[in-house]
Amino acid sequence: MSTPDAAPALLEVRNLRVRYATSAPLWTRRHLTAVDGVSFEIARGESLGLVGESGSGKSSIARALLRLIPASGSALFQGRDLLLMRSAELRAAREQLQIVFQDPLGALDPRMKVAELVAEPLREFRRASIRQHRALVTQMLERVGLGAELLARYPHQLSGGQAQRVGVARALMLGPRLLICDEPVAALDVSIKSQIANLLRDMRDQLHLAMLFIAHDLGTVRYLCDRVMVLYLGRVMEIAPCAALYAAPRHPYTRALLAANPIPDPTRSQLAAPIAGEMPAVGTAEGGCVFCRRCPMAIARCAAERPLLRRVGESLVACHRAEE
Amino acid sequence: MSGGGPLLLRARALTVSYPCAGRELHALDALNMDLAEHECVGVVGESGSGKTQLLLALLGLLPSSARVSGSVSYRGEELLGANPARLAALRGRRIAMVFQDALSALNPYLNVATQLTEAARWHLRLGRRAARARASELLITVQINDPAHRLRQYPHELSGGMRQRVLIAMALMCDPEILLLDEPTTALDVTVQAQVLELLREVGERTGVASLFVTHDLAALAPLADRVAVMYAGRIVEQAPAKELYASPFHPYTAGLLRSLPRLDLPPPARLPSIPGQPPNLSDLPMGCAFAPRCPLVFERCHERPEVRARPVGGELACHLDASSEQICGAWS
Repeated sequence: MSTPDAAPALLEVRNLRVRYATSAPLWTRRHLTAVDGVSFEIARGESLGLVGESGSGKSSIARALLRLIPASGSALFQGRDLLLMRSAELRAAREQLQIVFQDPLGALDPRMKVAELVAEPLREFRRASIRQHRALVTQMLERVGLGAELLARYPHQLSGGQAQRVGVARALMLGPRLLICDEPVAALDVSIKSQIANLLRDMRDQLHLAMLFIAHDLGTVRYLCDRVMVLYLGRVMEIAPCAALYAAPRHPYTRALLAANPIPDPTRSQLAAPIAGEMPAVGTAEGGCVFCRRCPMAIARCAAERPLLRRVGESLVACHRAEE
Repeated sequence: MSGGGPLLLRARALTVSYPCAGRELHALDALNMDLAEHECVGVVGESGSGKTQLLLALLGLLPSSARVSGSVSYRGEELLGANPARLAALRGRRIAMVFQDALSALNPYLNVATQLTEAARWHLRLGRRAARARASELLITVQINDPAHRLRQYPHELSGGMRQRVLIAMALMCDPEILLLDEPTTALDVTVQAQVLELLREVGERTGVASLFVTHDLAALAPLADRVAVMYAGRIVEQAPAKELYASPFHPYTAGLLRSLPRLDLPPPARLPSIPGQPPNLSDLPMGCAFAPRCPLVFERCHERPEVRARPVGGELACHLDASSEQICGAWS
């Protein structure tokens, strides 16, 4: 895997592994591998889309990078390993590494007003004097498309779209380099989704942000991202530049995801589910390819031998039959 | 308007409101809707548009605080104000509902068999064994293998897609004439959503059941619906045969919704058109058209309420504009 240019990547993740313990008594406790040896990098100013169905490990990756859950492997952020940082260093890194959550209301403290919510990062990191806070907050709200009349409102007085804009404002307050977006438009109304997608794109372009954009909606990912990574059951199936992945998906699972995406046109949408079954529970993976039980192209080799990521055309694909 | 066959459901001037902090909250506003035999009608709307209120009103399940007027009839029989015993005899028997959240629609303490057979034992007076046989038959219809084993399982032992299939089977137990589908695929992953949509179409073709498919997702509706009604702030602002509605929307809101979807079958747009502002407050609606504050084509007449009129090409429309569909779509780019 190489970055688009020779400059060192902003984020370089190697062999990331996240395991959860089951809640069974100690002597019968098992560990479930939610993220199983995932590697990728993000260049400065680049947006990487992270696509997969529920249980594929996408949110676990986001949380592991923010050190909200323990993980092994390495995650070099501007050359230093996030997973090894001690608390003071980690705190400093988090100024550069922010997240926007899926549930816009759940991410905001219901007892704080918008003014306090957006000023909180400044206060927490002792940026600027308290007197300057108000001006900075108003400026940021304007930037994300909110009027100053919202300053005195509480989260429950905001619409979903407004709350998500406050979430974006909070995340941008400290001028991060990398913004992790965990399904930021999934919970929003249809007419609001494209507003927030456009806001994220504008912020990315104006502030030269790098983004890790987690979504299950392939359309939004194509609109916002430079490259896409497809996950299944904690493993990377395919990583490719957007243009290549959507034009010529190499992995059978990527093809199934694209084919399952409904088209809003009755004359074009064909109703034939591309694959049967559902993603099995985490922890049920055996040797071989994790997708092979649902794969229409599976052969004996797929069940026996785990396919490694390898380069095929512009893509990195984990499939024995990627050339076909 | 309807698909031509005998009418099953008919709502006329259906109005639902709630007293709310001294004001009136208008959930449904003089809504007309028809559902004919064997037809699939899609109802599209965002949260607060009144789509769930419509389903509850059709089933007679509105809370007691609701003020309801107008008419809802099933095969000519008035349902608004009908006696509870009559409504109970229809629900689950003639009109069945599939809910969005399959996990909370199923009782975690009861196994699949008990929940599946309940309606048939009550409505059809089937014995335990006959009901169980019918249940396994239906599990096969909804493509669940090994029904004998599944019937003994509890909801938590099933995957999300499987639970949704069980809910569909449950709704079909008494061989109803009408399925009310409340966002039946919203909670599912995209590959599973495709499976459930395919199943719903097969069930429609095999049993001839008519359905009212309520969703926020115009894309999921496209392969299933014969007609589509678009709701905004408690009104149906446009309804038309599906092909015509998707191909040439005449309401600026419909056009905006269609244009703002990032589509995989078209080249990505330089910028995604988006509808500005936010859905209106139902207790403080503007005087005229509720969409006017967000509409790119707003003009003086929009301060008057647009009455429902015939659409230029098939269907109905509540908008003052006299423009071609291309002009209306063009306003969003």
